[in-house]
Amino acid sequence: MIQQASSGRTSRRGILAALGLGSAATALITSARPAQAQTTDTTVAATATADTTPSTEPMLVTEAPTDTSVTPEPRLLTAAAGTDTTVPPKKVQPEDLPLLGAAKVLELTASEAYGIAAARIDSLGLDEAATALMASLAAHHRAYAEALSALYGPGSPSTSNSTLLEALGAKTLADGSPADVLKTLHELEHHCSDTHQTLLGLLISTDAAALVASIQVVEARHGAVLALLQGQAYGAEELAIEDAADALTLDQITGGK
Amino acid sequence: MELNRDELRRQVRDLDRAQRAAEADQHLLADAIVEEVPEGQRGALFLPSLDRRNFLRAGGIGVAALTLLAACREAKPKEQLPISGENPGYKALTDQPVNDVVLLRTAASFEYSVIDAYQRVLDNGFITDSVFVDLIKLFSEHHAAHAAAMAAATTALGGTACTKLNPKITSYVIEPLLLRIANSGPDQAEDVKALAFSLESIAAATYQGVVPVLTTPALRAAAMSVGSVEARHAAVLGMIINPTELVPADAKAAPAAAAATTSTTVDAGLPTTLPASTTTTVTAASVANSIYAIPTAFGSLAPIPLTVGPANENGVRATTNLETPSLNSFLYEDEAC
Repeated sequence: MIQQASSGRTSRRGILAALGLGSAATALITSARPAQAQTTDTTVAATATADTTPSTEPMLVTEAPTDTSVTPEPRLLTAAAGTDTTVPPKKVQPEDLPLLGAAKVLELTASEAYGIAAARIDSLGLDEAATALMASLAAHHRAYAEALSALYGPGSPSTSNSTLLEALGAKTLADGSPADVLKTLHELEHHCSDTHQTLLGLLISTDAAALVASIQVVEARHGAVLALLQGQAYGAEELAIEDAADALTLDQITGGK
Repeated sequence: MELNRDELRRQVRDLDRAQRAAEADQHLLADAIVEEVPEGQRGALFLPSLDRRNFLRAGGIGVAALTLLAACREAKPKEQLPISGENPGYKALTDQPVNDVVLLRTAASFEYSVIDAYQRVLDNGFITDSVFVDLIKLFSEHHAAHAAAMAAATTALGGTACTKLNPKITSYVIEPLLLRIANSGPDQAEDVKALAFSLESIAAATYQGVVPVLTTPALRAAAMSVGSVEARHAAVLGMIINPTELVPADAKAAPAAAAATTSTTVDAGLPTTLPASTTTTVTAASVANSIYAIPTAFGSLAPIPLTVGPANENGVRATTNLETPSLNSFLYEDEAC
């Protein structure tokens, strides 16, 4: 059941590329931030700006798409170099709002994806535990959207992104095999978790960061459980340190709105 | 407090004398003041509702009350009770700020404490299930990578990297748990699984908990790049331990779950009218510790209760609350590690 960890995770990547959602030549999450905010975050901003080569890997936000050998240490070192001693703001800052809005759209879309699977849950042949899991995970994503909405305040986006939903595998969820449905949901969870991790490197407010962290840590569990439900051996694709390679860009999430 | 009657009488007499002396003094003082004030303005010296007699009486009562209180006070301090042995001494907590370096050092030390716990489990042969043994070996490798990453970040911030376990967490939390597990008897393997699940869960919570305290977004992302992996570890363990319930039952199903838990007393032979458990596939560890692959919708920072070890004479097993490192278990910058 257990396999040794490897650094590659190419099987999870490229789902959006295959569906033609466009390239991640520029890290759009980073570009959505004002210039002053970008200077605060040395790691992600610097890495993303350097990554200007057109790519077939639209998921990547913080790393070069084809570079799967990036070790965690340099990343942390760079992150540490940007540390200052000022107290970070607790309340949500204006620069955080587009990021929180994108996170909410992503969660609404994820919830809708689970809804598609739930509509045919009986035909999937899942056991009782897996069926209960599906219902819980759908509820979790709705709860995340609501929590993000509360933090955002009035005016947050209120609809999911249908284009993103299609790209994340709505068709597979609607008429794919049970194994494909689990695989699609597993990938969806990885996209969510990785995107939130990238957002954590951009959010200024500690309140926002705390909420996103509390979401991300459970979405990581979602992904692990769905992988095991597919019969995957734990360890084959698992990294010691998450690299956020499957993060979505702001444009992919919001459709440029 | 016991009062000697003679002493009380003496105090009352003293009080009376003091009262009379005070009245006489105040009388003279008031007369002197009044004599210096012009005739037409003397009324302004006193409150409208308080005539001269009552004013002086009130002052005298106040003096008497203060005197009585003073007399009741113990004159001598209590004697120190004899103590055998040496004074254990008291070492005050260091007045160090909790900054990024302290948090990173603590995180690294926690990783080493978990690695040490797993190693002791393997060395003592507490569990022989090959799947689980392979799993905690893999997790140990991950924890070593986490610790190295935290150490590197600490150094980059100008701090001294921690390369050893957290002595407070290991000695006060993990070692007592391992001692109890050593005496668990037939539940030993299940207790080890519960311990591993709890350690991974609390490790994830540790990283999640430092997110709002770390000063830069980059450090927060780095922390959660490790914390999310700890969460995956916990989910995998949760799924192995309790494969039939991946998420907690909702509120409506809670009474049924409680009945199933209580029904374990039937097996112990104690008289009960409760129905026997029907969830025979659920292992003891998952029942005792409420282990689920995905226990909550949002990451929880609450203490994790862990029930392991042998039952006492009443059939009760001890429970320890595992908590994320805090002020008394941080590794401050002046502490060796």
